[in-house]
Amino acid sequence: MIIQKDKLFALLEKLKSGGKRIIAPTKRENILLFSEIGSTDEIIQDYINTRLSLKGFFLPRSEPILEFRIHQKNVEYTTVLEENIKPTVVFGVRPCDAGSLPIMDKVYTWDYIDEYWVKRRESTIIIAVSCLDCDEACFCTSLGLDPGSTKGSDILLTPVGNDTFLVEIASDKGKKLVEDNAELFAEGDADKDSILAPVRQKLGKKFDLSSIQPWLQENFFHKFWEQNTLYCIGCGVCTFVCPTCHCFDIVDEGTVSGGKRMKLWDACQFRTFTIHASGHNPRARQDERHRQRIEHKFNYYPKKFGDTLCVGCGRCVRYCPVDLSILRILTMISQLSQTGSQTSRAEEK
Amino acid sequence: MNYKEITEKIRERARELLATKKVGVIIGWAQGSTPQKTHPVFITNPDDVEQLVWNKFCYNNLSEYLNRQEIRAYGRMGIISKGCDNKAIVGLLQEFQIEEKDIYIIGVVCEGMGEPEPLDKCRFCDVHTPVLYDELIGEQVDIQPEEGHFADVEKIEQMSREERWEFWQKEFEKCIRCYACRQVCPLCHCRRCIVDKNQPQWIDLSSHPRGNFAWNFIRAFHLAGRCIECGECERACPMNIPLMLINKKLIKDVQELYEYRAGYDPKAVPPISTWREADDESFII
Repeated sequence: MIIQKDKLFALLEKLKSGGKRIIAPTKRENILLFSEIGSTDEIIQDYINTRLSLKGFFLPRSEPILEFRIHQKNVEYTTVLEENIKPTVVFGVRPCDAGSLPIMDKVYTWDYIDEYWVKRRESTIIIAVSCLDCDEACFCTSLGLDPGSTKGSDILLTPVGNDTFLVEIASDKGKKLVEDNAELFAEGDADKDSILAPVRQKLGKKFDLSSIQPWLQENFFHKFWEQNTLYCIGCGVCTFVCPTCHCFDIVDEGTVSGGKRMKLWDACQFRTFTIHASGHNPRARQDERHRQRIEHKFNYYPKKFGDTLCVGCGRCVRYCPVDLSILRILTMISQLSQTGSQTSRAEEK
Repeated sequence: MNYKEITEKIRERARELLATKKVGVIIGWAQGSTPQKTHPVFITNPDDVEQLVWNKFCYNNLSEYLNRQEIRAYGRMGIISKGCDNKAIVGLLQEFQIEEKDIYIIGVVCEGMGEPEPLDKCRFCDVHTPVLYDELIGEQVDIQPEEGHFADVEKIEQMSREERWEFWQKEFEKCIRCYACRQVCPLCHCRRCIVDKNQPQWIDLSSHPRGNFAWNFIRAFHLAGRCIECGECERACPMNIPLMLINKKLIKDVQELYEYRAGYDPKAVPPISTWREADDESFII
């Protein structure tokens, strides 16, 4: 099945007039971001990827979850949820970002069902677009994903030239969308593999994922961390641009008469992330905090949920102010594990 | 001296300083993940000095690390320092964050960073040769700063109040509160930043307009007369917020009001850190 670009944009306009919020890559103050569009003219189509992932549409940077009012000794509160859930279509999602969503579903539906996440996921349709190009920071193929993978998408479109997209239905939601708008789609086929061959070749495979977890498991105290991650400055760039980092903080904002309970992104690279009320900090050093980021993504999360908590989108590599490239870290770990270099406990610091 | 020769000289000096135990660590730059990037590196073993590089991409202001406990633990810190980074060391000395005995400065003459175009800050640079060093690598260069240092600030000053408000509202709307600006800044050295204090919570942590304005303006005010214009906050900002416009406005004001520019003289008293009985108080209502 195929769809022409004008028909595709007509579909988005139709969904918009039907009451859905349409999110797409747009230029905002000179950076490429997913944002709500007023018209399909705003959609940018020539891009590697957006500055921020689409995570913020499911887990906003900050949002109220509760409003409270204080009258003398009485506290009244109302929860805030339904008004924050809007039927949404996200267009132009890259397969790496789409792939992050099922990975995050696991942590948000595990021991506690996070209604904010789940309801937004249910009310959102993901129309992904395969990548025909990448940059040096991209490494999806090293994580078992692909510039044309359908994981996490409802529909995947692959540009096949002449303003035409090959259509792959990847979920029931996607199937329904196509059935409900069948007049816009047409019969047709294209050789997806040959279209994606150049970008796949450019991506290559940068490290051996299977070697990472066993090494992390054994080398918590390795000198490697001090030697290669101590220069981390402890900001939140990598975690905030990351499509799979999902830690949040809860804070109250307001006055003596009332306010809001806010849910905010948090980052394990912040010194305050683990600091105890006593003042003790179990992750006192920056290399320990950076090790946590790598261990969580490539050891703890896979162990607990069966998925690596990284999709290779490359954002943290691109935007780290001190070029502490996770790709470089993983490549080094992969090489170390092959040479069998491990420090014994006696050599540990 | 060209980049290669300076790199060789840096390595040679680092090797000797480490081998003779004059310093416990050399803070420098190493080759980054692409040819257009470098990353900070801490060399403690003379055999590792080959990692050190000097090229057009040594952006990071390494002075940021002088105040970190983990780095101080290595002993006396040798630091490779270009002119703009060097001004931060002056600030850290003035504010008693470091002592001269704790550091050994290898100044490097810098012709400007960035390729093919130099960084904006380098066009107006007047410290191609660092002001403070124990030894200097490179020959002094005669590169005069371009005219129009504050042209971008003047453009904002000419806006109406409403236009300015709209301009900054749009810019700060993007702020995601990752605090890269704070973390990368060598002069943002508070042990506990005001946003990390939560009893009471002085500044909203949410990235709504109120929280974002409060955060960005508090940081700017706190750097008045202290910002040494290394531009690292703006470079680090993942959302491309023109943070240096605010910092430069304050640099301009401090220069006009007090004839003071931060980062040139470790013996000078920064105007915002001092007080005189005869000071004008007419602004107090």
